[in-house]
Amino acid sequence: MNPHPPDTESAQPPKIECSNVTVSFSDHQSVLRDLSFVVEPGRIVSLLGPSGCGKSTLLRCLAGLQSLQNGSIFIGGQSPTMARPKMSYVFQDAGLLPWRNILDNVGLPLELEGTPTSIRRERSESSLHSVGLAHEHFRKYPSQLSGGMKMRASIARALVKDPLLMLMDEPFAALDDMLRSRLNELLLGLHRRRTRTIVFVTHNIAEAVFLSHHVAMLINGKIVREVDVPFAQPRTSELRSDPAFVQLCGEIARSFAELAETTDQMEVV
Amino acid sequence: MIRRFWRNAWLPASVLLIVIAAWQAIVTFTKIPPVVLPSPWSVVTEGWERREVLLRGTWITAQEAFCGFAGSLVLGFLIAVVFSQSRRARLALYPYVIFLQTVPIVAIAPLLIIWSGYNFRTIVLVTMIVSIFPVIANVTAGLISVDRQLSDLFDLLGASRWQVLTKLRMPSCIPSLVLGMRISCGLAVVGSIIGELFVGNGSSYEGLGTLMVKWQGRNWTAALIAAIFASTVLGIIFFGGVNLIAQTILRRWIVAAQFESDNRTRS
Repeated sequence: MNPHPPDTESAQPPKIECSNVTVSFSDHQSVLRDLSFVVEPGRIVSLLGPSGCGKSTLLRCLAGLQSLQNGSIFIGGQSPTMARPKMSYVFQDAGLLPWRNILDNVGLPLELEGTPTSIRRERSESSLHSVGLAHEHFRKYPSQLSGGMKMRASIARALVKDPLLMLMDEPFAALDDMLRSRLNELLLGLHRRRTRTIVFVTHNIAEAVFLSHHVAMLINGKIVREVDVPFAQPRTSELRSDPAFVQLCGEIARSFAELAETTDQMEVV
Repeated sequence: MIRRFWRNAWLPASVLLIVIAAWQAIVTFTKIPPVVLPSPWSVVTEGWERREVLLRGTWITAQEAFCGFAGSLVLGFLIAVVFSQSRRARLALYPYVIFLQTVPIVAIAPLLIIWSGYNFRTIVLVTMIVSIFPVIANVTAGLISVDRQLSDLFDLLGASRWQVLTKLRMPSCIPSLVLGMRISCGLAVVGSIIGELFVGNGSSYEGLGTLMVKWQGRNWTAALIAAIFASTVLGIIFFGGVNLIAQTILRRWIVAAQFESDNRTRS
């Protein structure tokens, strides 16, 4: 029945294909309406939109956490649930287990698979180093770390199994602007070292443009416009002051304002 | 830490002093006979004279209450785990758990004596019936109401049901467990005294409950009040013990949960 055969080369980042996805929580209101889009392998795609537009729901659908009323999603030719071993998910407020120290939190995905302790520790430490978290913090508990450090630990946990697909649900929304740009650069650095498909949910236009190859704009459960971001990699923070960058952000903001006139959603930053 | 203790203790201590002073004043200025209301001082002297019997009684009651409390904890936890794993079991059996909470224990204690005899075991059973409900109710709630984000995480990582139970549900239910333990430990002391009221008289179990019945029968009111104080002190010791466990062995889970919930409230 599956029209898409699974990837023959499993080490390649997967392509995501959504067609006619519809999700509703009650009979009256659809959260996602007949939504179709494609994420090419190895690309960073941002789902950008105001609060309540359905972007997080779409991400949950990609992870197989939300069932569809209609339509289909294929990740590297597999259903989201089947594709889970190759994906990782980063939650908005880090989602660390408060009773475990950072090292044990990062090692959790390996622990659940039954990976031996020594290998687990080695890979957790290397993952934590890759996100720039110093050794002195490894034995600390989440309550002893700042918001930025917790998010670094959360990303380290998402990287520990070396996933080919990362789904990120507004991971930096609660952080201040300076920290947010530093973590944006960290994410791009990680992507340079290892190409993965990344779907990034945000309501921040500048963040979406800075990070992505491609931005999908959502309003009221529909993708209203898709924008290719032309800036070459590697991108650095100087890009943020580039006139072309500022112009593109402005254009997207205007586009949202025009499209939102027909709706009551105007909360895009 | 000691300074903080005194800062917290001076207010309740002053209330106690005022109550004792008022009590002494009533005894001094009214003609209430000592058999109805003995003076605070006579309670102290009576208690001191019978200190050996009182201490032995307190020790016996403490053992019964401890065994009943431990039994409630183990059995209550196991029942809560079953409830958390099977919605059907919860729907089918929870009403009977509420029955444990609502059944008048004085009504079924005689039945328990018929089944189990005049012995230590019966008192422990009564204690368990009185003290198990808070453990079951709180631990069940704690096991079921897990943070949705964390439960999604375990789902995404392909965790087995056993892994979700032991690595997520159990650790996150510890604050609820402590809440249940705090209520249950006080009830355990009450339960063991109730058990003794039925079982103790005439048997070799001269716990506080047995002594109370005996001394009430002899109109030894001052000694009776001393026994009441002893049972209160026992309850406080149990409560203190639970708090000590919460602040030492279980601290990691409770502090963490407290911090997370504070953070969530703030944001």
